[in-house]
Amino acid sequence: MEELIQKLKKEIIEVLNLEDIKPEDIDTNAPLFGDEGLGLDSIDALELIVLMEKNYGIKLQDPNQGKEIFKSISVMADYISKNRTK
Amino acid sequence: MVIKLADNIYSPLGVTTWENYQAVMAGRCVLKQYSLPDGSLYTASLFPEEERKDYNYTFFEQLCIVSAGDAIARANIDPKSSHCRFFISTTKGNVHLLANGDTERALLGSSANIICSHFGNPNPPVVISNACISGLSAQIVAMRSIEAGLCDTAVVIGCDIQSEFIISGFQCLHALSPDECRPFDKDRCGLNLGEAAATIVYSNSGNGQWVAKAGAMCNDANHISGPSRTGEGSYRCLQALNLKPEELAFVSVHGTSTLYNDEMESIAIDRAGLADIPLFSLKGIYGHTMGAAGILETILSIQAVEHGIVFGTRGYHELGVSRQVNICAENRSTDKKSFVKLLSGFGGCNAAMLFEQTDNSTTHNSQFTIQQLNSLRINLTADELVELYRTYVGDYPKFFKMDPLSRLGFLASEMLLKQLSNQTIKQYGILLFNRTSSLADDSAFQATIQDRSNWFPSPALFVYTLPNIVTGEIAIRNHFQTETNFMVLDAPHTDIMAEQIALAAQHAPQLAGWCDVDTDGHCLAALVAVPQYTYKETIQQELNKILK
Repeated sequence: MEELIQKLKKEIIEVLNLEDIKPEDIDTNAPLFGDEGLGLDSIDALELIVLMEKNYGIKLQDPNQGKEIFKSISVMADYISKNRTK
Repeated sequence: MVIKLADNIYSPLGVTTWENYQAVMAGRCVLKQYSLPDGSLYTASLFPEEERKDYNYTFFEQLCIVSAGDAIARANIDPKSSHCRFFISTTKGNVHLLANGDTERALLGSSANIICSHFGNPNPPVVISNACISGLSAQIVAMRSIEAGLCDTAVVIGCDIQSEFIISGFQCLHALSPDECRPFDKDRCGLNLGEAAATIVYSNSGNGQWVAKAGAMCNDANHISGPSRTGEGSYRCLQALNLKPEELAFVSVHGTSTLYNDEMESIAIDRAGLADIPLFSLKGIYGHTMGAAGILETILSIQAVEHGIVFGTRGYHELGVSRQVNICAENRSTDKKSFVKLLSGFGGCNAAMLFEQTDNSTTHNSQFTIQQLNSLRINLTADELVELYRTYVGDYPKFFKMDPLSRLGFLASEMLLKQLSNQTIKQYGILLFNRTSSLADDSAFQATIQDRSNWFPSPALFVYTLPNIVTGEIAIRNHFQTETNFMVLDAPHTDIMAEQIALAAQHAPQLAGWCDVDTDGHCLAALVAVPQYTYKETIQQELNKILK
């Protein structure tokens, strides 16, 4: 799991162009969206949906599902490890 | 105020305005379900496959030429006259050609030149590419150009065709409905795309029953793809028109059928005191025709008033927005003679125009003062922009999410505004021009859909495939809730730029100028801060200095 968490952090930094942020800056349990934590927005959420499909073969039909799954890196890693097809 | 001489709609429902009006009244519609390479379904109003061929003129250019040709013939004007100007409203023009690597013809300015040359017009055409409000932006720009005496007649053409580029982009934003769309309905779940060309010919004189009385554009300064939760920009546009609600037959709303757009419009309309005015959306018939929408929907609204009708909203059954607005489900009758057309789009832009059937006319007075202008030029590579950001800004991490065009415009505006920090102007309008539109980002997005076996259209890239997003980024950063607009030219014609900037500056001070990123990553920004009522000669002089 720790390996997946580290990989996910690197992927998120790259795909969301979080230029000034390093993997160790991201708190595994902090919220990804909203004013705290990384402060991601709606377009970032859509880009994370693409990342899930492209890298892990998980297709989310309803973008609203993302709200639960993208709560934090640890929730996201947990969901991926249970549902990944690649 | 300008007079409408003639118009045309060329859509899958017919090749003239009259055919289209009759089709709408007969309840005809060609919305049909299609699928994308990844298997996802969408519904769209498209021309038949056998008609969609590129010859010497591409399909996009053919539609523009046929539509404009009919309107020009009906208006009985001479398109070869130097007193006639062409304004072309489109978001993506020939973008489908990027799949074959044809970047030159995909440039909006190249395509516009071809259309304009067909009619022998001697003036460089101005392309207005201001996301989904382009069709109203183009009409407002044409109206101002005529009022200021830059031309006697204006041919305003709006057109967009659909391609995998556009459809996959909206799909990855989860904005498309798989089924027929349902504007303002409680079960609405996204938009349908459509294609059409539409043309209006405006004049300063002549026999016309219709006038475009007023127009306004306002930015939400909130988000580049999501509309304001308070309907800020649309509300401000409606306020700016100084409406007399009792005289309005209806408001022809944007009504895209996405959750957020329709909710936002209901709030704006309620806030503007128009909740009782009949509203309708034409998206349930034509889909969202993008660059054509503002013109096509204006022309059909004119037809409705002339026939004493308020259109019903196809797809609408039960109110699904938070404000009690007056959506027409079925056609109604009206005896009123004016209406409002409302639109909003990515980049946070909004526009509204007031049209009236009348035989009155008034004259327009302009006021100018001579000013000393502040300006700035940036001429760098895309990589060097990052260094510039670290040196001059450094505290706006959103910068790294922007495409090169937005980064360039953002940095230029930051540096110019620093020069102006001791001035009292708090709200600037933004009017930018370039040659390559959003081509660098278009190519990046195309790469995400080029390979069918690796089909992952990127939402973060797609939102930047509109050149006007840079104006939205600047508006958001500075809370500028005034007018934002983007025009594409085939070259930096400082005379045309100065004219249009001077016209915009009659309404608000402007941050304006050139902002272009080449395909080789070369960035050139030349911005001028223009106080209200500045002479066009003063602006041109400054532009010539910094654009050499």
